[in-house]
Amino acid sequence: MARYMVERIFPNGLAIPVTDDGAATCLGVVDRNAEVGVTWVHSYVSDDRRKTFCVYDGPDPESIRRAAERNGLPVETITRIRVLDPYFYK
Amino acid sequence: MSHTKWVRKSLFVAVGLALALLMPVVSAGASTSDASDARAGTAGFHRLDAAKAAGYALLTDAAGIACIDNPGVGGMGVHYANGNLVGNPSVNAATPEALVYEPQPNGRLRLVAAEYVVLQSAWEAAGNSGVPTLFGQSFELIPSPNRFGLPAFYELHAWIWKQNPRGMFDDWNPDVSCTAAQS
Repeated sequence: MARYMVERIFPNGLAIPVTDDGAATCLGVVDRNAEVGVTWVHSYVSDDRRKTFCVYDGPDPESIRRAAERNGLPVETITRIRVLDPYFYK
Repeated sequence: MSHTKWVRKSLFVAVGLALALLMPVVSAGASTSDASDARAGTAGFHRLDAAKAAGYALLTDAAGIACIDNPGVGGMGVHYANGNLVGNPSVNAATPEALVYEPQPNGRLRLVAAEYVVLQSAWEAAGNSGVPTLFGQSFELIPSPNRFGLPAFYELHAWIWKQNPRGMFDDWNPDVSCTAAQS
């Protein structure tokens, strides 16, 4: 399974309430991703909440895009990525 | 087709079929599993109810403590173990024997890690030698007696849902706390 960075733009800002409804929203994304063999690992959100950088595992970019469609999420770019950390060369 | 060519082709097909049949067994072993398989296999268990429905049940130690920590080193969290998987001598990244949750201040449990467990007796009874491995890591043998009152078992934690500064496969995570469970 490959890893991807998915950039999304939310012109009006991403708003997920810190409530049971918000938790259900996030878990719903997890469930719908699983239907197309995609796993959401975690995301980074810009300070203004207009942009997210989401780390995903999945078989290919098309699956990532299908998962986004099912979740009603925008997709700006999908980039295949690998880990580079301070210990990579040791 | 000559008889020689037919025999050669039949042998080729037979060997290919044998390899194809063996492949799932090989991939179910340790070497080809990876963290992606583990995350894909456990993503649905962010919902604790889903984990319970899949057969995972709260595990406490012999003293009845559910949230396991090691003050000064780090925490593990609350374990939910699947008895059927624990009794099985095979290890598979996508189907951990236990799920590890960290108590949150809001009372919820957050999935943070998977723990792979094999009873030493079951592992050896299955004809295995050496220790189980996954992710290229060797399991640790926990001898008996132990705090869980279990017979000797092999275990490996994988912090696939929360970063561990001590390393992805260390038993203890300094960023995991049982404080919320005690409040």
